[in-house]
Amino acid sequence: MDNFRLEERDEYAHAPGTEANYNESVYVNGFDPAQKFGGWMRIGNRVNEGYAEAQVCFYLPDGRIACQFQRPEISHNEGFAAGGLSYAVNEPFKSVGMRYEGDLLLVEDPELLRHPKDLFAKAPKVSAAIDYQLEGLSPMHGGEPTKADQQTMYGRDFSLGHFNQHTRTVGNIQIGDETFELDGWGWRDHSWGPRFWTNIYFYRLLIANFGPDRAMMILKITDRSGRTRREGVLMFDHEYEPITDIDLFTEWSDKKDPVRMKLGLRTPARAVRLDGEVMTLAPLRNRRKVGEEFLQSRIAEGFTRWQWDGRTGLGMTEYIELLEDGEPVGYPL
Amino acid sequence: MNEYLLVPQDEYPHAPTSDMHFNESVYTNVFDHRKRLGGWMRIGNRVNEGYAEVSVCLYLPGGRIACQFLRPDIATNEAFDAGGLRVTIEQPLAALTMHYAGEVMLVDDPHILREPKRLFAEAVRASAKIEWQHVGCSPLHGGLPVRADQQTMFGRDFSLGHFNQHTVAKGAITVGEHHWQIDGYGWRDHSWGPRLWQNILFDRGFYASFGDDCGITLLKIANTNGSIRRAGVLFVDGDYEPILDLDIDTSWDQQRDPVAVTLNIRTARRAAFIEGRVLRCAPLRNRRKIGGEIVESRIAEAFTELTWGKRTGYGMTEYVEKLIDGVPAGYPL
Repeated sequence: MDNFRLEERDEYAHAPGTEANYNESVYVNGFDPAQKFGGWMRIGNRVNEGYAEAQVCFYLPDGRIACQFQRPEISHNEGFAAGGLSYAVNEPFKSVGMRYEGDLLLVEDPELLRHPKDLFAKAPKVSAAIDYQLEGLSPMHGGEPTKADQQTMYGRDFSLGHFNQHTRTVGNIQIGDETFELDGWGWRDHSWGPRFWTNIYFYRLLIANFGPDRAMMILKITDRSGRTRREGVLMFDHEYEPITDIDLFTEWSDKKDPVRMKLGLRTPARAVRLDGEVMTLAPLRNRRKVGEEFLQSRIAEGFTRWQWDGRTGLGMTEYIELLEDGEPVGYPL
Repeated sequence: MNEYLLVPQDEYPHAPTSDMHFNESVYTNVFDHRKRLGGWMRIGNRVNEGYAEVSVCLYLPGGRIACQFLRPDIATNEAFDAGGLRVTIEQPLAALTMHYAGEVMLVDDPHILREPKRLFAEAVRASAKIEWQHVGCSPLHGGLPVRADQQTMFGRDFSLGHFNQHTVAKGAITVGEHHWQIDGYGWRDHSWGPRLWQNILFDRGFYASFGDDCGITLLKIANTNGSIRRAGVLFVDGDYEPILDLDIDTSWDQQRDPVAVTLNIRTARRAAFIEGRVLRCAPLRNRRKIGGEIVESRIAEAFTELTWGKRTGYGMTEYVEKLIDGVPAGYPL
């Protein structure tokens, strides 16, 4: 991720491009290693389409998922506040916060998430108030490319600018009559530019923290031509080391969702092996009508426990891939 | 490997360049799948250094290795014929035979191969006669690059021209009083250009057959600048499919030699999952004085049984890597 421009003003919303599918999004996550729970929240302004994607997904200690997926109307891209979600930059590059106030759907069986209509019709709703505060632990990673031919992390049809950072995350979470104090680690990103979720042919994104000094952000992404790129960083002793190689092996459920991962990572400084186990998986979908055709992608969001060198880490496993004839295009590798 | 020049004349020795380390080598391996025995032989002319590298390595029933490593003097690059090892071309790009007549060393405990002086001093010797004929059953893969900026399979500091092919192989092996008829499958290559083994930081190569219609040529290679590439082909139903992606997971023994591998492979047509089990590893070394420094690479040559779906194959796993402070540069990935 050399040759990227990143300034403090990039923490805030940018002037939107004219693309119909312009997206500007902020995402945060946080997980508590002692209580083994946590979750993520995201606001994605799609101002030229007149709405935001507002998403909340919490993985509770007993295996339930508390979530919300909305598309509230927005009329401008001047901030990140929609559908009960709001995002604040406390100090650029150092501290941000995200809050949610509104209903959450309580899901005991994640299979319900495969059927959004059933989810919204059947899942019990409870009121929730969530406050996440994130303090940067790592350098900033990414920004906006400075050359026209420069490879970006996810490709320019998914975002033009993109940066991310590992964090300490603390939170106060009220879901119905349950209250959780979260004290742990997390990650956040900010992206802007044109985006269709279905522009990703397939990728595997692995994000986790192993305390304040070690973390990973690992991306293996394949485009329609079959070209695979390996990207990301390994945080070791608080410093980011660029990834020079990834070997990833996935074990799958009978629903073709990731269950366990074996990961080999190489940076200029070290080669490491990690083992991951998905504890709770939210099997999400994104559908988009293109012409007369619906394109659909699966977005598997797995709360994951990792082992690295005797250390336990927590984080997110995200497998996004187009469905062709109902089959994830990257499966079974 | 699409844009390569390959003509029947390339089966024969090329005019050597003035590079001190000009190498022209022919390698073949053969395994009888029913008897689970076979091996590989290689002759590498280094005419500008005045010698050939002659290597013979047989994996015999019961785990015994019969091998020979010689550096006979050569004065020309006009033939592959030195140290008792000889290549005859019956039909260019279609059929060749490799012959060896001479002594081999019998090794019950492969660990002695780590110590060449002890090996040559202590190993029991036997006379051997080996002859195996290869008839190509696949397309030819590779040749001479046609553009100056073209990436070659192993990199131009390891070979300029290089081609390989899967084969049906028949022949006979006599070691001392033991005699085996060989009826199996193999793989062969031919390389020319400057070569120092130490120019590879590390590589993992897999060269195996699952019959006369199915095989693998897989390479993951890190050049000394640390950049990592994946190259190779799957041989399926008589055709080569270039690989688009390759992930490797290796299990190791206490000596850091490979004992088992899992391979995820993607081509434009399929995703393949192959598991390999090392039946016998010959832990070889190459040492060379470069400048005032002795640079050493390990060359683990492992006879491997592979499983790809319902098919079982046999071939070679080859891990070449520089030793840095005695530790293989690619280990433990």
